Amino acid sequence: MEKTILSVKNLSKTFNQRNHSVDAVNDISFDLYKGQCLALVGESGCGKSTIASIIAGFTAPSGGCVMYHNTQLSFQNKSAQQQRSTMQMIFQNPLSSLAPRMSVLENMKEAVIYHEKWSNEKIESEAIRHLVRMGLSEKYLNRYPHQLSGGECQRIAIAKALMRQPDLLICDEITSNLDVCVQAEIIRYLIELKQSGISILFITHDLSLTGQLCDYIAVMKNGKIIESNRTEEILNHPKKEYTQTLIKAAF
Amino acid sequence: MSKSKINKKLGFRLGFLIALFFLFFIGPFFLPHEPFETNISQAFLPPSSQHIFGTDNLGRCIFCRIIAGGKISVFTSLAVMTLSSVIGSILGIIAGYYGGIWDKIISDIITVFQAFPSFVLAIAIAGILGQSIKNAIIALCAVYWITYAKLSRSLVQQIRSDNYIKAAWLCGAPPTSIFFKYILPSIIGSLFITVVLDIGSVILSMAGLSFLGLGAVRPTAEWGAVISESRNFMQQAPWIIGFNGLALFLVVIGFNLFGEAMDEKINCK
Repeated sequence: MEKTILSVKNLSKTFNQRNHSVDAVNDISFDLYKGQCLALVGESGCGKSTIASIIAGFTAPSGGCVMYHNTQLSFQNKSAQQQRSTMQMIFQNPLSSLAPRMSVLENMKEAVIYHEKWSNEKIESEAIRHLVRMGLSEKYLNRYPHQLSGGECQRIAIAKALMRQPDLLICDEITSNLDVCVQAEIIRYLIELKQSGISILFITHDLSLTGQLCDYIAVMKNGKIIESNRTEEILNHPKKEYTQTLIKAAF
Repeated sequence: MSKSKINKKLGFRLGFLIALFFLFFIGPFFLPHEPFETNISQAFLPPSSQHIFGTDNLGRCIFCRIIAGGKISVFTSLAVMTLSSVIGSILGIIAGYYGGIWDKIISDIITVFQAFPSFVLAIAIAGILGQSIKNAIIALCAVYWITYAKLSRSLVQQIRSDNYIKAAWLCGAPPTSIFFKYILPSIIGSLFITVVLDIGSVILSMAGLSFLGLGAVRPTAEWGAVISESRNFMQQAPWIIGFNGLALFLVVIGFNLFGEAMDEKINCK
């Protein structure tokens, strides 16, 4: 039986504005299993990134709960950070994912030093190992984010996230700002990660990226999951008209 | 502009400021005349080889008084800038970083202080506290801290929502590390540039308070006070007000140009 890493139950998030409130996420439930990839797909503004933000602990939900390793996650308190120590997130904008005043090595060091007591030599060798894994070399260690391209920044952000071998990787539109070649490379790296046992929550508006990488797809519209199934089923036999439209747009 | 040109420009302007500092802080030990010594027989002497900037109504050497007063003007403005930037930044950082009730309280205090025209507020505070340089410093601090509180609050709020801060939190970074490693280095440059660019304005405000009789007490040679005293003799001895005004202009422009060069240097990648 597949082991559940992440279980989202009846999650909802309402943003209260001056005159009205917006239900960004409305009664969402899904499970993510170990070593598998679940894609949250939908148009911009449908609530995908809000879900990622809640799971990562940046935003508190209005209702529902998130179970990670069978523990209910808390929000905006000290234990919230500790509970997520084996979780990493990669963001849409590659340049803003890395601290601009820190070198690549310093950025990668940050992923480790708060949990592990590694020597500087070990941190550096691990950083090089993960950079090489991402198709980069040790010459990048002393560079600064503004000296790198978007694709390089994103690969370094992934390498940084892998420093402590996370159990869950949340990828929030990580290929949106990249060209097609770099997109394909990133997807290839993510497939390797998945095969190494890391679970991936892959958030995208582009269904064409999900085919090779994802095991399951949940299609979202207006804060709700309207259809979810195994990737082949969704791509070959979509039930909802909205899913068919997304597939037509992607292929 | 290339990095070498920016460095050259910054070096030149920094050199100019250092020269002014030497002149104002070491110069008083080598003055040809005593700046406070009066000699009525030498009153209103025009610039000459003996008194290169002439003398005032009491026969005091204007050059010596400008050098002696420069120390007071620069020192008081640096004191105002240091105090107001430290107090304002701490309050702004607390408001921006912790948000919630802290942000509301500090923002409301800022709004109350902003309700008054800044120089009018400084005049009112200095007027209530009485004429002295110390009280003028307090009055100007009460006006200038708002700039730094607002600036640091908005900078912290902006940086706090950046992805690399979120990533650091997820990596387990405690609030102190997030603040000292990520937030402070990102805002310190902008705050420093604002401080340097504001020094000129503070020197002018201090001179303004002294001009109104709310700053330096006689016979202190603070430039604003000297300009205030000498306005009655503008027709008779224009060099008194002219050279003091020129000194004020040079120092203000020196700090402004240095601030501009620092801005270019910090924002140049």
